[in-house]
Amino acid sequence: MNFSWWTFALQAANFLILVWLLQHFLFKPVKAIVARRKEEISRALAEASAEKEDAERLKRELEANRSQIVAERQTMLDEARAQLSTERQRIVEETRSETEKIRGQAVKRLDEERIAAGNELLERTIALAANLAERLLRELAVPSMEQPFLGRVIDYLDRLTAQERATLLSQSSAGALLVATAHPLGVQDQSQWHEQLAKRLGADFSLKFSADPTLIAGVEITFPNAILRFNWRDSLSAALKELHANEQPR
Amino acid sequence: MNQSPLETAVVFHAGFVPITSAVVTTWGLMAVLTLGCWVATRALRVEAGGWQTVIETVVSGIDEQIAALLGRDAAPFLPLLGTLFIFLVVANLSGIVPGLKAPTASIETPAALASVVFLSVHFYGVRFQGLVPYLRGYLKPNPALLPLNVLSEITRSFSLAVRLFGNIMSGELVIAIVVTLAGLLVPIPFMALAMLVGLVQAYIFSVLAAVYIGGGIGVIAK
Repeated sequence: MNFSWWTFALQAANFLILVWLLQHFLFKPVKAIVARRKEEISRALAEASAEKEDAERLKRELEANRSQIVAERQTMLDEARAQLSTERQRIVEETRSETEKIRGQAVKRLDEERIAAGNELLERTIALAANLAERLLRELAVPSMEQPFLGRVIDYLDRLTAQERATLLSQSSAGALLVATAHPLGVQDQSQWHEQLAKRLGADFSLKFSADPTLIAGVEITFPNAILRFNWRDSLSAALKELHANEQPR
Repeated sequence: MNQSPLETAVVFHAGFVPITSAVVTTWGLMAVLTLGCWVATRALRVEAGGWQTVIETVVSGIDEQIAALLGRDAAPFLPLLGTLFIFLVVANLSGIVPGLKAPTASIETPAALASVVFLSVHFYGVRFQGLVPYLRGYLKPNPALLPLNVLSEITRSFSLAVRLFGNIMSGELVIAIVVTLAGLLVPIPFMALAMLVGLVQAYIFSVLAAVYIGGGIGVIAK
């Protein structure tokens, strides 16, 4: 077995050269690309971490905003409910008030209509009664009924004082007294009327007789300052006035 | 077989320098490795493809193995130990190729590699510890053991070379004998065994080199 020192030296040199070659063509490029990949991975991880933090921050902000929105929504809902309740209460109150007002007006109008209807009915009743009474009195009235009214006139004049009589006749000398009866008086009746009136009023006047069927029965004497009415038309009018007077306060 | 397996044939002479077949084969392997590495790494990308993944896995595996052995960053040692492992694998397996003899089957090659490792131990030891602290390490645990420590440095390098040479040379010798005696297909199991031995020896040589360097830099007890 021979040992070649040249071969030994060449192989040592070859190996050292190979060390340099592989360092240059293998280890350095591979280590560089691995380091670059690790760097990119680290950068990607850092970016991912940053993006994750951003996402978490955005998530927190979003949750905060959502909570705020929920709170605002609740507040708005509460306010809207309160406003609705108030508005509803106001509308109910207004409606109730309006209803009460309309109801009061309707009741008042009904009362007025009822009163008006009652009054109208009463008026018609009174008118009908007056009409019936007038028709009945006209059927009952006869010329002989004028005479009792003369007694009532005489009786009235007798109860007057002298001054009152003088007032009635204060200007009688200037004209005649008008005596209207429902039925024409005969000459004898006219004389009797003139005689009885002259006894109470004196002789210083003249009488002018006339017939007025609207009186129904009775007499109407027109003095210068007054009119004496003793007839059924006047009695009916008085009765109607009395009825109307009693009706008005209702 | 006309030539002793313990001798290396001289292919030609460069001047007065004899160029043996081991040297020529080594040049060829260097060329193949360099060209292959240049082709494989000329267009490396961050998004690794199939071959790039294999290459990165090999380099990263060696790097991690060195780091695990030394317990520190493997960057300063990767060129030497990585090249040592890759060259040994390729050189040991080159004997399988018909007509080629593994360079490591010649004693000069393992001796040269063991010598490089021997020198590297001291280089890294001085570089990482400083000259005096490194030399002081030979006086431990007792100055009386200095001769034994020095002898140990020499003998372990010698055993490193002889172990590799013996295993590879014997494998090739066995295959040659079997081919001579039994024919063409019978040596195949022996060739497979030789491949296994070659890979194992490459690993052992590289790991022992790493251990020796670790002892030199003080991270592993001598």
